[in-house]
Amino acid sequence: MKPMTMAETTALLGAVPGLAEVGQEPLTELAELFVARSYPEGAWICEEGAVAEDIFVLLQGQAEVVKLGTNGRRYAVATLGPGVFFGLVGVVAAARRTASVRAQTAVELLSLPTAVARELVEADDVHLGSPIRRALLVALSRQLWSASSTAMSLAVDAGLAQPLSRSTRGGGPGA
Amino acid sequence: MNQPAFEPGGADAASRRLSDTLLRGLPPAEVARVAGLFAVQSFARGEALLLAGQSSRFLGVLLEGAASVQARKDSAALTLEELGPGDVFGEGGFFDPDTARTADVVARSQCKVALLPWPLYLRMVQAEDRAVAVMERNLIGLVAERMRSTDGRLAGLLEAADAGTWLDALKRLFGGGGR
Repeated sequence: MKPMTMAETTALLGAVPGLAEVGQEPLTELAELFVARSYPEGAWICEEGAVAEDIFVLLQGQAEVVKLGTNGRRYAVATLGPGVFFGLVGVVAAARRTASVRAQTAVELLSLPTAVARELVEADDVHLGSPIRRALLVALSRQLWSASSTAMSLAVDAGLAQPLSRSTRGGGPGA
Repeated sequence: MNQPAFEPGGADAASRRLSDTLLRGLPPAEVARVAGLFAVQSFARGEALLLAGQSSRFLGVLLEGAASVQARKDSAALTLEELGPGDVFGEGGFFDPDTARTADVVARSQCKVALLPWPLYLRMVQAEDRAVAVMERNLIGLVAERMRSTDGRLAGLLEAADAGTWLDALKRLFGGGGR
């Protein structure tokens, strides 16, 4: 793989959800902290239970999130595509991975040491800290919605959801 | 959006709620300063605090009352979470404008909420206001906690599906009331 230039890395990072509204200067400084990596199809990018040493931004290709059930079987719980920030658990909580990620196709990604990300998140710095925290918030919110949607679909299919209330009114703030 | 002034004593009440969650860790004077940036709005029972598909960028904190986070599919709705005083909502659409609001937040009783509009948050970021770091860190903690809870529920569902007991597992999670 041809090494990526700093301008290319910066542009790719700027396309990550949550980083689109970040200024060029902090974005370039952030890009300098990331390292480009490649994985062949079928390779494990990170494994459940392992120490969460890095966080990742998927640039090209597709990967699947796999969780080990208490029955010892593995379940694919989500699919990841370009622009997704993943492997974040070490930044927000546990030191060990709570799921594995496997490359479904050849994958290009950027990685950042978890310790560096955690330092940025925990610092009071706004210049570099706010962009990384916002990207993290967007990634977590999207993961949360994806998991909720799956549960929602199962519940609707099983007839457990309630009919939509006709009494719901209003259009939110300022309405 | 209209920005109603705080009602008498309302700023103190908002500060107390905000200092419990979103602004936890900020000194009281800072909490009062940042709370002053929020607008306060009241909602009647059944009214939507946020609607799925809405593109407005507000971060909300429930000050009084109770609300439900509801997902919609076809003509059905499912309660994903119940909110009480101090709970934060709307963070997904606030930081992620490319994704429309994904769920409704509906008042289950008369509610009062504090709302931070995106332009004011952005002004704080540009001023490198330390309160931004505190708010964002607290939000990460809150969303991560929701994520862990949902992730655990989903893993349980997948295992139950594998074991053929997924309907029972769903009923435990969402209640047995059918259409």
